Formats: sequence, C-alpha cells, structure tokens
Amino acid sequence: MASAGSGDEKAAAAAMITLISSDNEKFEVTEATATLSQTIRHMIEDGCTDGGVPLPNVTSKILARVIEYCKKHATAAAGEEGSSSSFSDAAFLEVDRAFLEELEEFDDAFLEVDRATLFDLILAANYLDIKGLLNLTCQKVADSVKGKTPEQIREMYNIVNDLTPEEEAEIRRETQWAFE
Amino acid sequence: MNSKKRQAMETTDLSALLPEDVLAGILGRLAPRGVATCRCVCKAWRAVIDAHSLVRAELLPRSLAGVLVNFHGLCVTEFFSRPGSAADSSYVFVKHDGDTAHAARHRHGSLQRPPDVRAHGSQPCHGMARSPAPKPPPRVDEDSFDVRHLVYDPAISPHYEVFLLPRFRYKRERGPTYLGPWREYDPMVCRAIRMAAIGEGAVGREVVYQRGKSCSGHC
Repeated sequence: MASAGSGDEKAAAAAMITLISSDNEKFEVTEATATLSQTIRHMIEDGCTDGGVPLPNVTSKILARVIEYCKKHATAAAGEEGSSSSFSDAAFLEVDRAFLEELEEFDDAFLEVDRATLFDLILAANYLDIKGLLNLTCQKVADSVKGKTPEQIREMYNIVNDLTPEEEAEIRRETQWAFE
Repeated sequence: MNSKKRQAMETTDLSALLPEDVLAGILGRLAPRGVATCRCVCKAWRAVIDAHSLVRAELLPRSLAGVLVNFHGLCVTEFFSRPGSAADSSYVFVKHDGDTAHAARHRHGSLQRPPDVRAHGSQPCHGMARSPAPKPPPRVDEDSFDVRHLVYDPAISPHYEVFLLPRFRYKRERGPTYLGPWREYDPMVCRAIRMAAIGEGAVGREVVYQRGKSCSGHC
C-alpha cells in the first residue's frame, strides 16, 4: 500500500478489500467499511487479505446485508470524526443530529427481517466481530422475549420444552417472584 | 431462500444455533424478571443463564417489611407497613432525594412493578411509563395533598415511575403537646394513591398503610 507512493492517505481511502461469501460471491468494499469488523481489521493488520477474505460462515445474502450495515455506519463514523473539530458550530451539530436520526431510522429499517435472517445476522456479526451490529440484532431478540411467558417464548422460537414438570416446578419455586 | 428451506427455518429452534456466549449476551439484556422467566424455557437456556449467573436475584431485596417515608426535609423518616401483612404485601421507599423519593412495590419476597401504573406529573420518566398522565383521583382527605415520588423496581427496569403520595398537613390542635411531626398524623394511617389506568378511565388505587415505629434516617 505504502509502495503505491502517491500519499498514504489517498491510498488508504482507495484501498479495497474483497470479501468472499460461503457461496463464492465476491464483494468489493472499502477498507473503512471492512474494518468495522474486528475480525477483518486484524486480517488487514496481519496483511493476509490479498486475494480476498474468504468468509465460509457467511452466505452472500447475509454478507450483502452486513456490508449494507457497515457502509452506512462507516460513513457515520467518518462523519463524526470530520465534525468533531467544529463541535461548537451549531450548524454542524444540527447536521449531526439529523444524521444520527437518519442512522437510527436506518437501523430500525435494517431490523425489519424475518427471524431466520435475524439469527443469521447475529451469527455473522458475532463471527465478524462487528460490535454495533451484534448489539443491534441481539437487542432485537431480547426485546422480542421481553414480557413473554415461557410458553410464548417457546412457541415464538420453536423451542422444545425438555424440562421435566418437576424441574419446571423447581425453577418456578426458586424464582417465584418472576412468575406472579 | 426457497420455500422448503424457509419452512425448515421456521420449525428450527433458532436459539440452539447461537453460540452460548451470544445467547447469554441476549438474555443478559433482560431485566431480572425476564431472565428468571427465560430460565423456564428449556434446559439449554437454564444452563446458559446459570453458567453466566444472569439472574442477579441477590441484588433484589428478598423481604421488605414496609415503607420508609421522609416528607421533604424532615429529619425523621417514617416507617409504614401494611397491617398484619408484612410478609404478604408491602411497599417500600428506598431513597429520598430532594423533591422525590424512590418507592417500590414488594410482594412475596420480591419487587414487582404494578402492571398498570402510569406516570403522572412532569418528573423525568423514562422507559416504562410513556403514556399520557391520567388525572389524579378526587382527594379523599382534605387535609392532605399529593406529592410526586419516583418509583424504582429493579426487577423490571432500571427506569423510574412516578407515584403520587398524599402528604398530610399538621394538625397541631389535636395533640396536647407538640412532640414532633410524627405525632401529628391523624389517623395513624397513611393512604397512598397509586396512579393507575384501568380500562378507559384513569383511576387511582388506594393502599392503606399503618404507621409503625418511626425511624431516624438521613434526609
């Protein structure tokens, strides 16, 4: 990268990483987008991204969504850095707020997926170590469980109740306050 | 995704696909009550919750005998408990903080949020109570007036709700000598009105407390 010569900054901005999904689809992303993933960041630091980064655990469908998220949030991170120097400027704060609202809307819309996709996104976010995405998707699942009874939770996530009636009774007794 | 695969996904236990620490990360986002409920879902969930000690029941008060009240700047804190039902149902104030005190409902050895409480007044009120405030019920005792108190129930949420509690005016003419503020409550009963929205209309639910011994405490 440095050997390309014409200014490190320019080279870094232009650096592209190729991500390869489990079904062999290739995605070209900027380094700024890719490094939202700590896993990929470490690979880049170790200099082993030449010829693309194979991601055998992530399908192209999910990888496309993950990249969509990273692109949006990489732009946000860049925007934040850019505006921090003029923090006192009210106009910039206004722009920041608008951008954060937009980002929130993006996140909400991003989570409008079926459960299987949501769980695939969690697995991908965990594997790629993308904190923001993992946080977002896990919170969505936690919210879906909130206020539900064990029966409702089992039904929602197709979980088979393998607890014996005795074990279940014991659990209820141990934390009786939660079942009143 | 083709329909066959989709159907398979819809009948698969998705949570079983998650690594244990990720599942723990999800369940750990729930309030203690939610975590305790999830412990009853299946063996795998119970194991994860136990392995990561997610039910922090030790942080929740296990038994509460009554209510500590400090009305605005008095140096003596009052203690109220429900008549003969300390183990059955009681309320407690856990903190007095300037204009507000934190109260929590307590039943059967655990804290529990009344499901129908709504915020009243302009106190900051996040999370659980976002509905518009219902009107307070008609005043029962003309010698009292409502004071807003914050309610805190760690089993449900780290956020607060607002209770209205009546504050009684002093009735100095009733006592032969003025011995202190706790002597001036008459009758020896405090009625706390919990703001509640039942059905369409806003109704206050009245809870009767009996005054026990008064406790000195920090204001």
